[in-house]
Formats: sequence, C-alpha cells, structure tokens
Amino acid sequence: MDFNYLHNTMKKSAYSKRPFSILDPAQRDAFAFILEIILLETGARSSWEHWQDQQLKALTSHAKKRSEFWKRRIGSKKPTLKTLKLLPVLDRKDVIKQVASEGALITEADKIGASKNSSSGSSGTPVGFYVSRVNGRYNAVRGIAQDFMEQRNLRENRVKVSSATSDQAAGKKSYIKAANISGWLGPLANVFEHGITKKISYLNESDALIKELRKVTPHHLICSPSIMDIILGIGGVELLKGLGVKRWIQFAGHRSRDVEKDFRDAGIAISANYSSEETGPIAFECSENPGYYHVAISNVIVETDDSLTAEVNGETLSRVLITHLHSYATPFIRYDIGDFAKLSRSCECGHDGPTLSSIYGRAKQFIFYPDGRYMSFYYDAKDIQSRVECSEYQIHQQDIETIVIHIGGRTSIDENEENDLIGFIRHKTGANFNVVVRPVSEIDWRGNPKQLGFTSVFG
Amino acid sequence: MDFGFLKSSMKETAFSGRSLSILDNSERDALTSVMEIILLETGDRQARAQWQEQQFSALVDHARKRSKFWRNKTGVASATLSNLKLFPILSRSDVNVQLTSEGALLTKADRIGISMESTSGSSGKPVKFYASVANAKYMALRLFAQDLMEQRDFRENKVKIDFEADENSASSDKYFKVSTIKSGCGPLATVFEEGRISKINTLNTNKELLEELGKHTPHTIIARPNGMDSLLEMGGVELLVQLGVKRWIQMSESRSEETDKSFRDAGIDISANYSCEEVGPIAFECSKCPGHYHVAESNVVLEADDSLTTEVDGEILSRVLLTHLHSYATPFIRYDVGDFAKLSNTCDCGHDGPTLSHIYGRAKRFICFPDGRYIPLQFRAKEIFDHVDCTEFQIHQKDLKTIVIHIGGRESLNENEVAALNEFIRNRTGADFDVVIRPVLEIDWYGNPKRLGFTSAVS
Repeated sequence: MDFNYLHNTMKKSAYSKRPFSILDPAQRDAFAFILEIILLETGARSSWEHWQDQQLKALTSHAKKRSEFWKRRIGSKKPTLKTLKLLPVLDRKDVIKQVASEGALITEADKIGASKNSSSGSSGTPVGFYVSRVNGRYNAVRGIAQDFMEQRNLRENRVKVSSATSDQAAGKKSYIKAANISGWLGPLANVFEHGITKKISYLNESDALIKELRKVTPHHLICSPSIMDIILGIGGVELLKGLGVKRWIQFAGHRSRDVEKDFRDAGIAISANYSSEETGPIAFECSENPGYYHVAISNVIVETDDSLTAEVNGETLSRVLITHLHSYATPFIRYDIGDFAKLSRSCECGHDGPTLSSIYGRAKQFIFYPDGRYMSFYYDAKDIQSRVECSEYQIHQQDIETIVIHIGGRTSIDENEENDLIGFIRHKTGANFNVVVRPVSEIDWRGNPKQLGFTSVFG
Repeated sequence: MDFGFLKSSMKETAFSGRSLSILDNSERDALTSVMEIILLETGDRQARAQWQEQQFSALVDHARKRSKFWRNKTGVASATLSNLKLFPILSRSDVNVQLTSEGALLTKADRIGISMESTSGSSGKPVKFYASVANAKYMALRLFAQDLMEQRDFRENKVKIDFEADENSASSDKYFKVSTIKSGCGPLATVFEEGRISKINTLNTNKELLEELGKHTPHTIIARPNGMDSLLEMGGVELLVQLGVKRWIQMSESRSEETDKSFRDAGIDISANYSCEEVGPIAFECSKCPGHYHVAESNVVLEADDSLTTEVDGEILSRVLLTHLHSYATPFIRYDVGDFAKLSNTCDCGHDGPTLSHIYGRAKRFICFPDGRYIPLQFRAKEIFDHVDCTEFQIHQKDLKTIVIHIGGRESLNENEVAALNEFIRNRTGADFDVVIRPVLEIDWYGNPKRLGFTSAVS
C-alpha cells in the first residue's frame, strides 16, 4: 500500500510547518474522512454490515423519536438489515406529506444545520425535503474518495456540461455560460495540485460550446447522455479525442452499446455515477465491468423489491428501494426512487459488496403498453434529427395509446417527415401507438430544467 | 487504492456504533496518523523535502532558544537542509555534555511528557538522553505503518526472542521467561484482529524454547543474527519451516549471504529494521531488494559523510549521520551513530527516496588494522562451536595487534582447538594478529545484557 501514484500531484507546500505534525488539522480531517470511507467500503463485509445495522438502528430510533409519521410507520419494530423489508415502502407522496406536516427532524440544538432541497421533478412531481450539512460534506468527500480508490490524476481538468436552466434560458433561443468552479477538493486543495473545474450551461449554441471546450482540455467530461449525443452529433468521437477527453463521467440517463463501443475503440473511458438528489451517491460504475455499479454502502442500503418488477430487454428488473443512512433531516427509509435494476451480492471484478446492474431509471423512461408491460425507451438525438430538422424536440407518452412528438423551431412539417417519425416510434416500441407529431416554434418545458427528451404521464 | 488486503483482519465491530460516524475518535486518529506517515514517505518527493526542511528549521529554532550548548554549536548558519552540512557533527560525548549541563529541552510547560533513556552500550559507552512521549508514539505508529505498506496480515503471531536473561536475572546460567505484549496495533486493536505477540528471554534453555515455539505458530520471529544462529543450531532452516515461520525480522548487525540464500530457498522472508535507541526507526529493508533500506524520512534526515570512510569488502562506505526531526527533548542533529553505509537517491524497486545499503554498524563491529583499515568481523556462532566445545564465547580486539577469544565452560583447550581458532581469525582477517585464547568457566560480560559475540576496544 502506498501513495506512489500521487507523485507530481502534490503541492510542495502540502505538509504542515508545525512540529510533530504532517498535515494541518483541516487537511488531516478531510484526509481522515476519505480514509474512513475507503476502509469501510473496501474492508471486510461483516464489518461494514455490522456498521450499517448500527447506523440503521440509530436512524430509525431518531425518526421514531422526532416524528409521529415515522412512529406510526415503524411501530415497535427495531429494523435491522435482515428485517428492513418488513417496513413499508416510502414513496414521493409520503415524503411530501411528512415534510409538509413536520418539517425537518433536526433542530438548531442538534448543531448540524438543515436546509431545504428539492428534486428536479425529472422523475415526476418535484419532492421537497431537508438535508443536513453532514450530507453536503459527505457528498463532496465521497466523490473525492472515489478518485482516490480509482487512483485518478487530480491534476486533470473536469468540465461539466449541462442544459441551461429555464431561468437562464427564459425567452432566449440560445444560451451559453461558462464558469470556473473552485473548492471541489475542499481543504485538500492545499495538499494536492488539481486541474481546472469548469461548468458550462448551454442551449443551442454548438459552436460556442465547442469553442468553450477548447479553452481548457476537458480531460474528464461530465454530462448526461443527451448532451453527449449533441456533442457527438457535432464531431463524433474524433472530436472528443481532438479535445483531449480521457473520460466521460456520465450522469443520469442511459447510454447505448454503440456508444460504449465507439468510446472503447477510441480509448476513452466511461464511468457513471448513480445518484439521486434525495440521497446523494448511490453507486459508482465499476472501472473493470461497464454497466455494473458498486453501491456506496457508506451512504445507503439498496434493496431490490421483487413485489414490483419490469421487463426490460428480456430481463426482469426489480424496483430499487434506498435507505439513506444519514438522512436525519428528512428520513429516506425504503424509499422508492422510481428506478428498476438488478442487485448482486458482489461484482465480478472481485469487489465484495452489493452491485447494481441493468439500472433503468426513472420509471418515467418507460413506455407503457395497454397489456401492462413496461419497456425502456431510449434513443439517440440523431434518431430524430436525421428525420426532421428542428431546434429541439420532445417525445411524450400522453396516455396508454398515444405518443406525442413535439418538434421545436418549426411551424409545419411535411408528410415524409411525419411518416418517418411515426415509423420510428412504431418500430422502436414494436406497437401501433397513435403517434401525434406537433411542430411548435418553442417547446414548453413547463419549467423543467432537465428538458428531458422523453417523458410520460405514467411512472 | 483500497484496504482489501485487510478484509480478513477486520473485526466485525471495527466501526463505530455512533450515528454519522465511521470510526470512533481514537481509532480515527490512529489510522490517520499512520496513513499520514505513508502519504509522506511514499508520496511526492518535493513535498516531503519541503516538510523535512520545515521540521528541521523548527527543531533548530527550538534547540537554539532553549540551549546554550546548541547556540554555541550551531552558530548563525540558517537552518536549511542545504546548510545542514555546515552544522558540526554531534558525537556521543557531545550528547553527554549537553545532557549533563542542561538536561531536557522540554519542560512541564510544554505538556509533552519526557523520560530519560539510555543506549545499551553495545556500541561503546552508554549514552543517556531524553525522549518525549511523542517519540514513543511515533515509533509504534511507524512500525504499524510498515506493516500496512507491506500489507502484512495482522493476525499472524509475532515472537521476539532474546538469547539472554532479562536485566533482572543477568547472573543466572539458565533462564527462560515468556511474556505477552498486549497489542501491536494500539488504538487500532479494536479495529483489527491481531495475532499473539510475545517475548521470550532464553539462556541455555533450548528445550523450553522449542516447546514454547511449538505452542503458538511463530509466523514472525524477531531476533538478532546471533540469536537466529542459535535457533538454526537447533535444527537448521528446516526447523523454522516446521515451526511455521514465515518471516524473520532481523534486528541490528548484518547477516551473511549464505543465510539469505537458505532462507530464500526455504520461502522465509527476511526483513531488517535499521534503528537505534537514540532516534528510533532509521530505515526499513526493502521487501524487493534485500540489503537495501528505505530511510524513514518521516523521522530522520540521513547523511553519508564522506569526510570519514572505510573500506569493507571492496566498497567505500561513509559515516552515517542522523538528524532526528522530532528530538525536542534531547536534540540529535548530525549525530554520529557509529555506523558506515552507502546512501543512494532511490531504490531499484522504484521507491523514490534515500536508500541505504551496506550498513556496517556499529564501528565496534570492525576489526581495525594498524594501517588504518577497518573490516567487519562477521561470522556465525556455528563456526566457533564447530571447532571447540564450549557453552559460550566472545571475541575481543584488545588493541591493534591483539585479539582475545574467551571460551566459556572450559578449563583448557587442546592443540587442535587452539590451531583451529587461530586459523579462523587468520581467515577472517587476512592478517597475523596475536590471538590469545582464554578458557574460563564463565565469561564476565561486565553487566552488558547484549553479550555480544564480538567487541573491540579500538575505535
């Protein structure tokens, strides 16, 4: 065990000047937290299971003490990892109800500070909930711990590209804003050299986006698959290579096997982080087995609930339930996050911990059939853009028989374009949906900042 | 980076039972201290050099402030590592002078406990000095860090064997005592399972020793080369293999290439720790390059002083000078520890740090010739026992022309035995010393607990 891989990554002034000290207190504390997480998550199974049991006990005890809602819900049970499944599933409506009636379950006297947060609504009605300072700190440190575990070069730049928010893009046809972000390493920024971290918010400004990407080598490009589709649409994988991209950190969404192959052939790594706004990090993609995600057991207990399953591409997937071990402000215990997946006890890479695969989330990403089936509905931007010229688009399942395609930046479309789109949907779904194609000058995203390519009234 | 190799060593109750915590405070502190050492010693070289510079500067400031001896000694040279060679060398008698006139340079007001220590006198007159509680704490952490770096299994048993009576029973002919040591892991004993750690003092009690070693597998034996020789006398390397020995931690002195080979062939690792009572750990033998020692830079700055060299086996070795960065109670700055060695910038294993080899110490281990040369006198006990039946022996260089061999348990020797011993000395030294052989019933060790096989009155 050594830190040889950190050569040339450390600042000359990394260490303390004080006698008998190696790191200064703030740096030492941050370093300690990372080590604890790594020890817990890569150490002995029986040890971390025991720890999870104790954390679960403390969380449920806190919830019962501070909340009538939770007292009724948990009753006299003393949940353990083994008996957790006896507790009822918590859904979004439950959370909304608990928060509305009781607010945060931590007070000033707890000295860990609570603040209101909200999910984006990409997976349904936005959920308002409380988080504590501890959660924010954990989320930041867990990301750094992942870099340590994967022995990443901290000097490499990270560039996050996301869609402009509705506020940013209000009334505009296009938008671009780039800003450097500091502080992702926290106190360890005094110890390690680190690359530039940049955030680009963008809408319909491809040239400006590429120009911005050229300013600082985006060694690690962080974006959703839909944004990556747009970038690939501009210049393919060759563009990424030309920009100096070494890794795509994919968040949210789903990537296709074709994309995986193209990236593999180009020597660009892909790793995805599976997380939710409610709980923070849930799992991190295995660097050796694409598509397999090691659960962040220092943060959550993940169950797959076989009482609700979906068939996707011939696989039976179960509903994912999350228990967030540090959710003292608004408890998430057996929370239905809206995703489906498979859960294994370990990973083929040798990691001895719960491992998710075939994650399909959120349920909103499914097409629903009259016969009760679900099917994941994923497609590339070029599936639409190759059929019709448009500034934006959205596919929406309006009811069990009807799919609506909004085409932005157009007042009308011709018959060929319409038939092409209808054919695409029917071929993709394997069913004779009633497909309505609506050209509009601007799509009404209804204030949803994610501007999802596919939405559904179901799920 | 992961702690996967620790899986089988971790206790189920390794982690904290407190909410929002992973390790309890003292465990967290201990783990962080150990990992800080590993980060410092295996991380970036420039950062480490800067830290050493800062620690050295703080040490010299402290010494100058509190000690007239040190103000006079160090003059006005600024305390930088590049100026280190301008500082005068500190000898044993200097340490005695400073201690006698000034005592400890830490007081009650510093709130760091101190204690008076002494060297054993094996390398000359005993040196008294003060050490602080921080020094003892560091020593324990550094040994633990070494086990982590080498990814040792903490569950393995360790037994230290001293082939001598303990200090309370020095006059006995036969002695046998076993004591167990509570924990090598300190506060981390609640996190990791540990093997049995024991100490055996044995003097002419081979039967009891073998019985004891048979009770609990001695996975690691800690012993000096002459002690290991005694064990090998009882049954060779085969005995060690039978007992289940996996590793010999060799303390002080040097070992022969023949020993290296026989252990290597038997699959038993050897690692030596180079240390001294005055400063604690100095360097640790490389697990990949036997005979090469990585300097413990978290503890010492080491120089090889070419103003005093010696030739050993065709190699020019330089005097070793040590600056103990944490010696606030009794400063050791450019301290002549009495050893000679070669110092390289790195190790062939890839370790990027100062590396010692050809350590010959202490100077007392050398045969000195009238022409000023030194050579180490290395031999195995077997080589004496093969030639003469005796209970104990000692070889002593009385002056530049005379070597005295005391043979214990005998009143007289026959001609063949005398000739064989003369031949032995001639072969080992390549010179015609006057060899005086003195059979005695009991050797007078002058109260020296180490009972060294070779001593010298010539420096």
